[in-house]
This record gives sequence, structure tokens and C-alpha cells, in this order.
Amino acid sequence: MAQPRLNLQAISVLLVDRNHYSRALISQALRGFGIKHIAPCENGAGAQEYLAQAPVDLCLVEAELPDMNSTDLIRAIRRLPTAPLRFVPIMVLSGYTQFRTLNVARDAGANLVLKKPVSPQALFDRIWWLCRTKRAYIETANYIGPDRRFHDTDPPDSAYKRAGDKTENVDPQRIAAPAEGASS
Amino acid sequence: MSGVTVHFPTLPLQEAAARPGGITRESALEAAQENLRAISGEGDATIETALAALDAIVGQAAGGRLTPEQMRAVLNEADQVVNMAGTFGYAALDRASRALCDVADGLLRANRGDVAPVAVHIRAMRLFSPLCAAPPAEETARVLAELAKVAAFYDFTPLG
Repeated sequence: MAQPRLNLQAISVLLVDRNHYSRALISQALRGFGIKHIAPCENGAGAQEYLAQAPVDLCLVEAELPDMNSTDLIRAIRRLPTAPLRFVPIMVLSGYTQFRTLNVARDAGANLVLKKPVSPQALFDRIWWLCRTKRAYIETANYIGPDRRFHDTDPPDSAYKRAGDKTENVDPQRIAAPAEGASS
Repeated sequence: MSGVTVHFPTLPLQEAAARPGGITRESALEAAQENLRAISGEGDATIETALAALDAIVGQAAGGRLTPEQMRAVLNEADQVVNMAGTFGYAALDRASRALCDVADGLLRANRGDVAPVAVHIRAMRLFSPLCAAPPAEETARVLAELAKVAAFYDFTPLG
């Protein structure tokens, strides 16, 4: 049986991280996945400027930016007037010292949080999950972002789980073909 | 329930990824690892830059104390070292730099600016730097155990 594939050649990624080398590491991994369009930004203002000019298909945002909190950037994206950019999948990259603030990133409307150091395996598996898992988006006065409830499809890691959720690691083979009609 | 809208957006990411062609997980990871190897040398330089920045911050301490701003700068630089050490598998440096993050975060939360516990962690990190000869395993274990005593003295809990 042929292995499942992911075609990332045409997607555009916005990568926001204050550290030049950290951006280089993540960019190298993304290029290995076949992604050709990577827009690196070192701060939130640069990211907002880029988003005003060009659409992106995926955002990777460091938890703590030099000029603003990542939550401010996420909220700004979620409140953009135009779809699909306002629903763009956002993955927050958290350093060791920022891990306590992750619930804030979730509440701002991030799709996933990934703890640094980011391994290619962890990054690819989460991108895979974002590509293959349909999730509804909830809009209320206080929150715009992905539906946090998981029904037929498990979340990809333990970061967002409630006590009652399953605690399996992501398995690309299993999530390659989500159940028909799966709601998330 | 009023004031709640549920959207089922079509995401360009999902549409593009489902197109024919593309890459398997195995091939993607292989290519990514190869790309990372190409720039791994810069990682050691980045660690050295962060250690030099930490030395400079400690050197600015007045009366054996760091300001909250300086302590936040310590956290920021130490976090970069954690990232690099973890990426390239420098286990001892990873543990020492995490220990510094734990202590600096604890000091910041306790509104204390003690520079000595910060300085001793930076010395240990220098010892485990990739540009230094790796110390024997016994010595590494002893140094890390001593660092753990610092956190225990202050009763700080690990961040992660």
C-alpha cells in the first residue's frame, strides 16, 4: 500500500521568531517538507505588515515576540475581516520559559502549541494533523478560533488536553484518513 | 445560545496539501534532517553568543543584585541556549540551561535579584559548552547535582 503523502509545495508559511538562527532552523525543516514559500519575520509588527500584503496558509509564531505578545498578534489575525486568512492555522512555538503562558495562547485562538526545541518529527506531525483534520471555528464576543472540543479525532499532543481526553501521541498513519463526517 | 457563530471554513492549507504528489513523512523527515545538518555549525556559535550575553548581564550587576529587567534578559538568553542545546543534543548543557531558567524565573517571581545563583549556572553552562572539552560523566553529574541544590535552597519548582 502506498504511503500517504502531503503536498506542501504550494503553501505559504509565515514564520515569526525573534531569533535569527531559530528562524533558520525551522525554515530548513520546512524546506525539507517541500515548502517553498516561507516568509520570516522577527517581530509582530513585521508579521502584521506582511499579512496586510500577502495571504499565508500557515502561521508559526513564537510565544513571546520582542515588540508584542504573540496573543496580540493571534487576536489581530482572528479579527481580520476576510476569510480564509482569519481562520489560518496558527501554531505557537513556545520556549522553555514561556510554557506557563500557553493557556493564554489557546484562549487567543491558536490552533496548536509546540514546545521548543522543535524537532522535524514534531513539526511535520502537527502540520500533517492540521492538513488532515477538519475543525470548526467558533466566533463569540470574547473568542474567535478553532473549536477546542475534540470528538471523533484526538488532539495531536497532550498540550491542550482536558483530563478526560485520550492521551495518545499523534500517529500520521491513523490520522491520514479521518473518519467520514468527523466533527471536531 | 446567542452570540455564538460556528464556521466551517475551507482552509487553503488543507486544499493544497490534498493535491496529488507531495512527500511522504519518511522522505520529509530525511530531507529536513539533512537541511538541519547543513547549518548545525552555526548552532555552536549561537550558543557562544548567548553565553557571552549572559556573562555581560551578570557583569552589570550592582551590589550583587540584578534588576528585574536584567533577570528577564537572563531568562531570554538562557531560553535560547535551551533551544539550541535541545536541538543539537547537548544533554548536560540542556539541563544546566534549564536549571538557570528555573532559578531566574523563581528569582523574578520572588522579586529577588541575587546574582550569585545566576553566575554559578552560567559557569556550569560554560563547562558544558560545545566549544569546551566535555567533562567526564562523573564530574557532569556532580555539577548538575550541585545546581539542583541551588533550586532546592530557594524552593523553586521547574518551569517545564
